[in-house]
Amino acid sequence: MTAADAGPILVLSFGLLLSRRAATAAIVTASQAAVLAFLVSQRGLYPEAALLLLLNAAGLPWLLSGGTTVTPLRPRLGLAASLAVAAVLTLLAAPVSAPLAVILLGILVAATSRDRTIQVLGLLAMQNGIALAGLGLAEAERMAAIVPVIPALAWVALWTSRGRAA
Amino acid sequence: MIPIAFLLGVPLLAAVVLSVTQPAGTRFWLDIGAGLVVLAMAIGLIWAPAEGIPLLRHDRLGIFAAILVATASVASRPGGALVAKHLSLGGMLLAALSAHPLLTDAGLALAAAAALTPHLGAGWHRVPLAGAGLGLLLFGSILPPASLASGCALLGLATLAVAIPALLPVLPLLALRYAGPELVALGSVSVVACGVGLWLWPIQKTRLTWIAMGQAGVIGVAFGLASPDATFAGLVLAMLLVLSQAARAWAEGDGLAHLLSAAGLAGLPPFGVFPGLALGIAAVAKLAPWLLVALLPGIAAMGWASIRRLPAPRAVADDRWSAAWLPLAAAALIGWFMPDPVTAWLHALALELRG
Repeated sequence: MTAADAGPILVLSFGLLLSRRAATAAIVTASQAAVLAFLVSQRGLYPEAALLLLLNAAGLPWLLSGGTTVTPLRPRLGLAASLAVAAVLTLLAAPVSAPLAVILLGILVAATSRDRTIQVLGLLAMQNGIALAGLGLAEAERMAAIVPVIPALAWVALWTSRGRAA
Repeated sequence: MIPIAFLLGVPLLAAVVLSVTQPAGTRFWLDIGAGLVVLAMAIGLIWAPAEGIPLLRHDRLGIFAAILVATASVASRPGGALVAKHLSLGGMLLAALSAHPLLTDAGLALAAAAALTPHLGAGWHRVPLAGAGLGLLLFGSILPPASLASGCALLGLATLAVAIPALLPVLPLLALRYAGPELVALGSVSVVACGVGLWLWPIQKTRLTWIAMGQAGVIGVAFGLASPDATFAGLVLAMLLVLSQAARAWAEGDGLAHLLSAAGLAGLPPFGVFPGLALGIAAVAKLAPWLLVALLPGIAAMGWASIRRLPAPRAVADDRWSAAWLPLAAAALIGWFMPDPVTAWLHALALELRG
């Protein structure tokens, strides 16, 4: 994986961080997974690319968009502070491992958002980073990195907690 | 294959049966019975012939971790969400007995999801935290072994410990795979952070959880030092921590048991984790004495935070015998008068890991 490969995915992580509406965040995360699926398909890993498109780019963002709010969200950190933290994380992590930077930005989104839907989308972005790291690995590790078990479990938790609230 | 498969199957079967059982009395005995069966089977693995089982480990470490997890489950207070409790036990056993990092992650994900499900209302903030922990652990697991992989996996385990303290029995043992300077650093930071946190914010509700995490930090340091003696100390401390937490959970209503279990959990002599803590400190003093500069103030702060908040040894609320005395006695027995076969078995495990 080259830096040029990771670049667009990292840029979309910043886009997710700047999203102030849950619907926008879902689109940005889906786009990130779609770019990743394109990169994977270029390596001839077509089943993995299909999984990414089906689950990370379409399935989970669609499920999450069902509960998105249309009012602007108030994250715990302001725009400038979010960008500053994200820049520091990227500068520290990207030279060591570009996927790690994507993972940390996803965690940052999950940690700083007040909206549960965006928090799960942050975990999905984190999973995209893990999938990026898995590109050059053996099949078992690659599949474990791609299948979004963690955001899916978080979505189940979100769905369950909504049911209880109702 | 059969003993381990049964061991992993019992909690899942118990969860299914509990989910369709209504009478409270039946559920109570099902919970206790299933827990005891799992504990007996985990202990029985010591004598079962070891076989080469794909993806699962039938070795001393796996058996030790299974016994610890089963003990913690049996000793947890009955009541609450029993289906979730047994699913969580099944997940932790899978993590403890798996020989493949990805299966370990899957077990932890199951345990985390089951442990969080009953508390989603007020405890939602734990979901993204646990998700981040699982993600970092997965990232560290899939990478080839290197300090980046170890660091991320350990950070993931630490995040999981903060998000879901119920997973504490198994997490330090999983950290054993990543023994080295990263584990020593993480354990030291954990001890210092818990000591400082308890000193500055002595919140009664979370105090004992933070103390347990501080003690887990000492276990991490002992495991990270990667010597047989330090590893032995970490194993003893891990056993005593589980028993002390169990005593604390059962001590409500019995003033003296409450006092002794709270003091024992904080590392105050003579009960609870103290013998293991002393062994751990001795091992650190021998191998890396400079670490004591960070560890001793952290441990002292945890002890002081506990002394300030110790309950008064008031009279027993009623004439019933508190079940807390059982884990308290077991901790005292293991800590001060450990039977020779147990000592030999733990030494063999420590040598197997670090010899």
